Amino acid sequence: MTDTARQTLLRSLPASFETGPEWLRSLRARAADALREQGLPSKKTEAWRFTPVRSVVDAEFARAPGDAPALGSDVPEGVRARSLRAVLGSEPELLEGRLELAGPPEHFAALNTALFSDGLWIDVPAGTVVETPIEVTHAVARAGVSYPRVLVTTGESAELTIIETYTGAASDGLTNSVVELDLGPNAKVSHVRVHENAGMQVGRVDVRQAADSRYQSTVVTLGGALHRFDVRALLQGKGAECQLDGAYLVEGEDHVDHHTLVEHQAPYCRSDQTYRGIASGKGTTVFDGIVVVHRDAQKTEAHQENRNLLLSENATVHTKPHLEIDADDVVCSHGATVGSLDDDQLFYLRARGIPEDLAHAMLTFAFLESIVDRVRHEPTRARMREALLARIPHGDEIREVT
Amino acid sequence: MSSATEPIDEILKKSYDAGFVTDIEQEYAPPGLNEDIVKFISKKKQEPEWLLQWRLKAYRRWQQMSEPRWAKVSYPEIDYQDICYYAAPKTDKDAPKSLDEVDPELLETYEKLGIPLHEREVLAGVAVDAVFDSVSVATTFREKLAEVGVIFMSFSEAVQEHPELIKKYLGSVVPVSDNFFAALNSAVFSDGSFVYIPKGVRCPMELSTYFRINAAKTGQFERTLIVADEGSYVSYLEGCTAPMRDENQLHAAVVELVAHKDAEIKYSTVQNWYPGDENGKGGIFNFVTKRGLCEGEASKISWTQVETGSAITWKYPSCILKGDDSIGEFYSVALSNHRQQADTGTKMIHLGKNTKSTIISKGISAGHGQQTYRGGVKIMRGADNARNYTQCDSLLIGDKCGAHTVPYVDVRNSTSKLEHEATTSRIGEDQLFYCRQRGLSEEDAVSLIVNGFAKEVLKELPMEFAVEAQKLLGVSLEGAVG
Repeated sequence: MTDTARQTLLRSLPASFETGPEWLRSLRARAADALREQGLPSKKTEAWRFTPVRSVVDAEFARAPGDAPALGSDVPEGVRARSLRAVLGSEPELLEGRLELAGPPEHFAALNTALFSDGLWIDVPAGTVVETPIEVTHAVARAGVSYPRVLVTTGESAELTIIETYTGAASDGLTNSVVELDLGPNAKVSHVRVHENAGMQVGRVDVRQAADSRYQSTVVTLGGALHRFDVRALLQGKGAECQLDGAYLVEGEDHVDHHTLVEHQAPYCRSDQTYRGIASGKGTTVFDGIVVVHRDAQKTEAHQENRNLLLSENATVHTKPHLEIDADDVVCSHGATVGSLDDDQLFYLRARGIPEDLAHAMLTFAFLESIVDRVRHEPTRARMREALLARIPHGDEIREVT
Repeated sequence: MSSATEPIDEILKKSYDAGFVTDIEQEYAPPGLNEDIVKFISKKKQEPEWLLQWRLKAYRRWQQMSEPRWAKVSYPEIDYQDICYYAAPKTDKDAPKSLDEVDPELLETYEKLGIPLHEREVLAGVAVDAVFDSVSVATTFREKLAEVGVIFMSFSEAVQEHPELIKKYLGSVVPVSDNFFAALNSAVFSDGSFVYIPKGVRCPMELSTYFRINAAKTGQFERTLIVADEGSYVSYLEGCTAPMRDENQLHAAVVELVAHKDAEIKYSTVQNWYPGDENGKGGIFNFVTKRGLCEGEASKISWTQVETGSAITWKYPSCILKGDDSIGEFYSVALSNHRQQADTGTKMIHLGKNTKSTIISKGISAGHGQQTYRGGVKIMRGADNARNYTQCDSLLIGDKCGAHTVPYVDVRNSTSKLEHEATTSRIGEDQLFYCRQRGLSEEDAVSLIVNGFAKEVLKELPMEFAVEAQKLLGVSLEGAVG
């Protein structure tokens, strides 16, 4: 990466931050300092070695106007959804210490921290169970770089389903998003993200979990020139559970990159990750999942699985499931596979008169559908299924037979 | 921990049996590294000009490289100018030609290590090329091997006697600039073993070397080159051990294997370098580059390692599966106790069609031991129908050790199939209970379970080594579990 390229995005960093409460100004300044020091990641940065960051940093981006996420539906009863800018203006003390859940931000997340102008704060008070999902839409309408930011906080025993959709037509835009979720004790949050093929995306989700909380994340990524997503879950309270699922497919020259980090910091926590990907065309998929078990996190149970179908001669699959374990009373496992469609299954379908390309499509769909099936909320599940069918060849026929 | 584990803790502290020093007059190169030292080593060994140039090229490349720091191990800065790069036991002018001529004190050293050359000669039929510090002192069974055309000699002899083979294969698998430690080895390697198995020959016996670092402050930089010509077979055993010392010693070896069409090489290692004391003082830094090239069709390379020693292990025996239908295997048991750190694994690079690889890795961490499996499987575009199966299991003993698994998988061919599985857990309470209930002592129960854990790998060892490996693991494993 040339110096000029590295500077392209960094140039937009102001020397000092004038507005907002003192703690925010200092948070932004720290993020900016970290960025100036580390720069943006390059191929030499281990966690970014397969991500073609160059295409992001080389492009000349102007800041896209109006980059705040929008609410895609009415706010369900019991949920408080407010603009971050408004809260920071009127009652900034409410947000103090809640915009850096996972410690000092780095790389693109730091850029977001330094530069986001508005966002959403979704809060569910203690004991409130919200049945209807809340929907958040990030639409990339114009070229340029946008910095959406969402903060979700839940009180004790609160329950919420949140559906985020990243969509839009601008292929030369960059969305650099940060979503933070802070789960109170015994809270349950189901978090669905659908990434439509919308320009370049670099996204980060940070989750902090108190005791006995449960976080379920389902990510569906449908191609993209460069999509890079990091999910980090910190299991800080005893008995917390975290489930991270993902389904992704690439074609053409897409690049889709999923990174997960689950940190078991407390005992009796469970985590489970299941990611499934399909690589076709000249596409590249990357899965890099890390499970860290701290010394005190005894009785941890952590599982991780990444399965890939490699369907064309020119596609590439990278997978790196990764365990770092410093406690002894644990059960941890990971598995990864890369292969093509099962001949026996194909034969079964062909023997029943199903044409070859439809049989292919059916098996491909079924491979990813198993991820969507893990979403509990039925209407959400149906919607995600639709999103998949819309992208898979013979989607209409499959809808009829299944 | 319960009181039931107390005797186990005792055994955990068991001292290093091979820790003794043999006093034999040594011939040193002055400490430090520069072009003159490289020239000194080359001259000492009466090497031809091309080899000196090769060394110098490596030295110059090494100067431009920096020490790799990506492995999950921590150790103090190594002062490369404080190491002696050459130490040879002084012998009566000429190198000994038979065991009778070997310094009796040396033989005694081997005796203490449990590799009595005489006994092996007679009983096991193993030809041992023992490397004592840097110069090979005895090669047995050479004549018998020569009858079938097998060349098995020290590296320096091979340079004199078979320069054409050395010139052809040296650096062909691990180029001088491959990595920092390989470049260092290429510049200063003092000796090692050379094996050539001619076409269609099945080597009549297991070949074996025993490495031992003796002199204080000496690094050992040996180089092994094994070439198996078309349709041949060889099984090679390597054992390593070193005396106890307070300071750390550096060991940076390079092993290159070349298997031609239909040839098979089986390379087994039992590594028991001094691991340092309970508090991590002393011990060997074992930074080794091992790589095999399956050059020809249907060739096969199999690595088996039992790693119980060394303060730090940095070692990734790899296979390049270039020939169609070639096979690569990696079987490993690694144990880290006390303050030992091991970052080890393998790399399988599939280039040819229908290539297959199997990786079985068993890691056991105890005490403050840190264990990392780091592996890479690459299936390149042209590797149609390639197949890989990887399994790495870790066993944790005690709450202060760590086990880490870092596999890299990179697949670019849609007809290939790859599976990777890993598990980490501690020894099963119910398994222990089951055994205890049937009257086995805790020690025996643990030993039984751990042996079962490592069995898949141990069964790959040749008979001659299995006994020693089990003995080694026996001491370390039984005590390490509680």
